[in-house]
Amino acid sequence: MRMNRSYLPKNPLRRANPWLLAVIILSLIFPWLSPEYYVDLAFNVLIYIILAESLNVIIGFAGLLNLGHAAFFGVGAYTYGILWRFFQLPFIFALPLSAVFAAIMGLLLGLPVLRVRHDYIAIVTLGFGEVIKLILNNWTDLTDGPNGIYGMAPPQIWGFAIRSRTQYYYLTLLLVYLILFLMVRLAHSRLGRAWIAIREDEVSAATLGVRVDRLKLLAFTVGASLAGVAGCLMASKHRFISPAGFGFYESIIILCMVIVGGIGNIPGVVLGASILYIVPEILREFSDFRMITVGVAMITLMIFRPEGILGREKRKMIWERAAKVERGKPFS
Amino acid sequence: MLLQQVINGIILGFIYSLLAMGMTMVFGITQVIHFSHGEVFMIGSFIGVGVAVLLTETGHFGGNILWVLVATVALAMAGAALLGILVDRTCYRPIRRSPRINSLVSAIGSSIFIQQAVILTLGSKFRIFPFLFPKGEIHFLGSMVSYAQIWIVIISLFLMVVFSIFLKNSRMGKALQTVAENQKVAGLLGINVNKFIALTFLIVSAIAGAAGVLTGSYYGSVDFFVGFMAGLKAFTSMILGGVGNVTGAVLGGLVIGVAETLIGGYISNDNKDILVFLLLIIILVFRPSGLLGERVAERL
Amino acid sequence: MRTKVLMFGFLAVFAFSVSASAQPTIKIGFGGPLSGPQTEIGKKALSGVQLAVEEANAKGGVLGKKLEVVPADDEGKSEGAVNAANSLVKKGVVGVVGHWNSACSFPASEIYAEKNIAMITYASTNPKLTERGLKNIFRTYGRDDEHGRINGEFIVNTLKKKRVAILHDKGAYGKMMAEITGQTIKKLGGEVVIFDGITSGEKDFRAILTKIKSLNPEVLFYGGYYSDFGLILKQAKELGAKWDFVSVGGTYDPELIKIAGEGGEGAFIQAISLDAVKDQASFKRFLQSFREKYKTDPDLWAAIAYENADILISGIKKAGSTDPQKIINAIKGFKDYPGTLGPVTFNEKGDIMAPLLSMFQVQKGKFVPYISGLK
Repeated sequence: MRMNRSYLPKNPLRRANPWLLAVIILSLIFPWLSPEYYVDLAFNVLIYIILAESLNVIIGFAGLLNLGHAAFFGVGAYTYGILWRFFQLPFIFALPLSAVFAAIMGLLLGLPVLRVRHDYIAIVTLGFGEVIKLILNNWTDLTDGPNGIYGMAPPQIWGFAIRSRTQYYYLTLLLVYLILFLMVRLAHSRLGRAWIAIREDEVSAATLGVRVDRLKLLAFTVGASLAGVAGCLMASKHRFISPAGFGFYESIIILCMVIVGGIGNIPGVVLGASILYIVPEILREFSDFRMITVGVAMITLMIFRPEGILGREKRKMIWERAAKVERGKPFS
Repeated sequence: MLLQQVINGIILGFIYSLLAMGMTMVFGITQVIHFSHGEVFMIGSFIGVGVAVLLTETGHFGGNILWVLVATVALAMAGAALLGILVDRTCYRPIRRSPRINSLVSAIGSSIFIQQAVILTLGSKFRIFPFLFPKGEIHFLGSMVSYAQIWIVIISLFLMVVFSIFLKNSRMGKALQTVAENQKVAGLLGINVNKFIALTFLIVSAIAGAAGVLTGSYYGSVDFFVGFMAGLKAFTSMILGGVGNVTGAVLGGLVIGVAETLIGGYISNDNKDILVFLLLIIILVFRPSGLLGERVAERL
Repeated sequence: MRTKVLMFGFLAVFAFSVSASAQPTIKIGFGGPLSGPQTEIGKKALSGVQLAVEEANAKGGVLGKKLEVVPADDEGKSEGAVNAANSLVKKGVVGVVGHWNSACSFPASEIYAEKNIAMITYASTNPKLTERGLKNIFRTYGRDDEHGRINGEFIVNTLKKKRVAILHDKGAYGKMMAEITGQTIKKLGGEVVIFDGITSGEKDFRAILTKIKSLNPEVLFYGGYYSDFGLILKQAKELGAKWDFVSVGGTYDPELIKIAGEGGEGAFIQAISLDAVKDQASFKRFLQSFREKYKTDPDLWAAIAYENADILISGIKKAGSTDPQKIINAIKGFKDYPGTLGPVTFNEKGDIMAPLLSMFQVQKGKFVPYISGLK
């Protein structure tokens, strides 16, 4: 009997998709066609795409609401910053170390999260995020506190220094594609399905042999390390980091990107991150209204379109099926 | 100094308890963390500021401060209650049946919305809240308690006791408890679940509004950010005491208030929040259901 | 379907990439917080710059062209500053008046430095800003290390107090002021009995104040802003504290006195203040124009930003061109330039020589100059 996999996200890599190809080509030639300001903007968008997708792993795959995600972003950035401050460690070594330290933080957060009731996860992660920011701010010997760290050297990869905006863009673009590829493969692997099982119904998943605790920790670890990568990249380009950029406000923005894109929806989150970064940039005169729009968006999306901007026909099917079962109709 | 710090902490704790009580009640019934409860509290203090300034400037009640206090609290409670019901109606009720993560997100959104709405309409500046308590303090054993502080404790206890009696002894209160136990069965018994949830929001928001006035007058100023901070402390207290457990919330609030003050006074004020958070985690590790246990129907 | 939407999304972004930039006006950039908690400050500063530009335009502009102010919101954050700086550079500004937070000025100055665009900050006080070897930074407000030194000297030498408790708000400005003041106090033989931080936005400081009370200091020094300090003053009074209070420019605001109530009486605040220059002719002219245009009084930031814009405009005139590097050289060359708030000369790091600092005291609910012209 063929397994009915219609409820899983379609794997875009399975078929040659002309639209996908067009987007890829466009992203490759983009810097040659645009002035510098836009390349900078695109770099930031790419960073946020990585960030949003990394949160997507935690919320979308494993179903755990993380309100302190900016902390991992900060840990990654500060790993590079601190290593630079004391050891002048080059970027090429700092990048994997950022991923590792962020992953360790993810693990540290995951452990108490396991112990607490499902509903507390939001608060615990929120608290964790604030605590990390506080530690970065107060541990002056390590981080120089609120003054921040600046002047990190640009990355040198095999002697080739990355200095221009375009080079940064391509480096980040490469990483984005790698990460997206990784995520799509993850989603369609046994691991991914196990995560989705945990998200949909934890108790049933456990009875079916899914090692719930371990996989939750893994989700945190993976999500955190990706965010750490984003942090390291951003630190190397902006060359200035301070604790102020890694607080609750940022965590909420990243969360909103995932919500807008659709929890668990990989291409959706790419779009969500892009929209939520670019639109406020374009509408700079209305910057007063930025946060209130975020608030309204969160409410209305949850009420009217919880699957996110791109929608998800398949997800509706699950609820409809469940509703039918409740009403006693045959499972069809 | 220890006694003084404990006194400081208890006063703070009562305010947290008032908010935690409401939050835990809402959680017990709807299984949603009411993120905007802090904002309702904040609006309560803003309404309070407006009313109090108006009354003191126009000299109503012949300048009898306690009457001004009563009027301010009453109006703030009414306004806050309305807001609470509105939030429930618009942000929570439409998605009552959806997965809880949706309600959580909507709750966060409502909190952000209210906060930003205040910034946009009323500005980010502080508003000065007239002092509505009798002045003066009592000195004893090297410490002091001000009359304001005593009044805060009295009013808080009063609200808690009334609430408690209502819950245990009145018909409505018992119906509320039924809804908290099991929404479906309550519906079968003819209880209009949505109406009772709205009632819950009304009551807890009114209490939050009162707390807002007390806090505003005590500290002398009001700003849009108080909701966020107070909300955080309220969540922590709620979790500490055990969700759904009203007595637990009161206890949790007091514990957090005193712990925070003692840590700030004896260990380090700089790192106070980190240590309080760690304390919470440690307690949860050993007692995952909080100090007094949870009272929520498990939704499997 | 989904990928089509994605596709259109990217096309839309791409479409915006086509930009035309004609330059019929000379553009002056403004960087500051125009959203978030410090919006009021940013807007006031912007109003100062706009006034300066308007006045210059009324006199026929510069080099035959009109001037235009291009505001950019840095949201008070370093990331926002990067975006703001990039957008200003893209729009072709020849100089920038900005930013407010040091955290914003740092990254922004690097971006401006790439194109040799002058940045005159009206408030960034972190000493390191001008110690990095960048040639395009100027500041008219002064630096934290000087201010901190002056504070420390005031406490030990003028007030003749030795036991000092120090609090800060954990922010870049407040903490640095606290640290430098503390170091100065120790160097001069004083004693710092406690050095601790408060969380800005919290309302209740009784815990730490009670602790400080038990340590019996003579002075409490606070580094931070007025909203928290106001509450500290109020609660300290309620607790019966009998210390002297000394604080910094960030607390110099009439709101402080309102929030602190009676607790504010007698507090010393070190600030650059308009009161010290109110009799100067140049300032009076500025005051009058500001009142005419905005129907309200300017605050400190509006005045300083106005002065900065004025310096920039004069720099353009002196350079005789819109080449940013020439403008920088022109500004560097100013000696005792008649600024709105006094004569302006920059040293080679870009710091202003002889900033006008005064120590004020709160007396009967108002700031009264206690000592002027501190160095």
